[in-house]
Amino acid sequence: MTTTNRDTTLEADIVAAIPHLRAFATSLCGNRERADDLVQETILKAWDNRSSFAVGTNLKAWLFTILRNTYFSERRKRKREVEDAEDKISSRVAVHGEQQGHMDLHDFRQALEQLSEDQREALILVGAEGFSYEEVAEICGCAVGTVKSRVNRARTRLADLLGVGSVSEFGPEPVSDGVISNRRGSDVM
Amino acid sequence: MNAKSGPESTRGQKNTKSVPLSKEIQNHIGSRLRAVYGQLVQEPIPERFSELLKQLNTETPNAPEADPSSSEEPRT
Repeated sequence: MTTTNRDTTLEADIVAAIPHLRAFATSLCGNRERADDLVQETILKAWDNRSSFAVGTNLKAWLFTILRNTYFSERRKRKREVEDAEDKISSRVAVHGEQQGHMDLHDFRQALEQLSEDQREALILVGAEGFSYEEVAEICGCAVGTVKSRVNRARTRLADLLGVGSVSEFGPEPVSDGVISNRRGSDVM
Repeated sequence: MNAKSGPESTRGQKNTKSVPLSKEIQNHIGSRLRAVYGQLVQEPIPERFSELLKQLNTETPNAPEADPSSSEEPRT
């Protein structure tokens, strides 16, 4: 009897999550249409398995987990079929917002594209979706510490790529160390 | 250290000692990230999703424990 109620609530929550699922899917696969296919599949799977979802727990995290698993298992299959070549080119077609936006955001988007998949994903889930480290660990099936270090490395790398991690704050660049040790090296020779 | 990857990563190694980034830089990155990602979140939802949800409702008007044998497509 409450099942219908439960379904209604569940459906409303799924609807609320759709824009986020689409955004995350797009950032995973770099292709809008594939992203929408992924989201659709995620919703179908979630709906089929809704009886296994514990009410009161985090539906959004559950949906993200399903989406992510679907993406990676499909990609594994696809890889076996198509071999890597094509995938490498097509998987990271930069996706730009409708508004080309400020130069600033354009640069940021490009920097984001250069992060490793793991780092980008962790950073997005924590920094943009607002999941806790624990939730992200659940979603990605890894340790909390791993999530933390991925997020940190992602930030550091972005700061670097964007040139905002100012050199003066961190002391001399290692390049000068290199020069010194090189000199030493040549002295020995 | 991965010494043998492009000139870019040479730049990237500047901070490999993982000096914590200042609050200011973290905020800078955070706000850009939310702006970029927010554009994706705010995109209009395609029609297909409202269709899909309607479909879910009519398919299973009140199926409580959806019996697995009757699911429309076998998926693995």
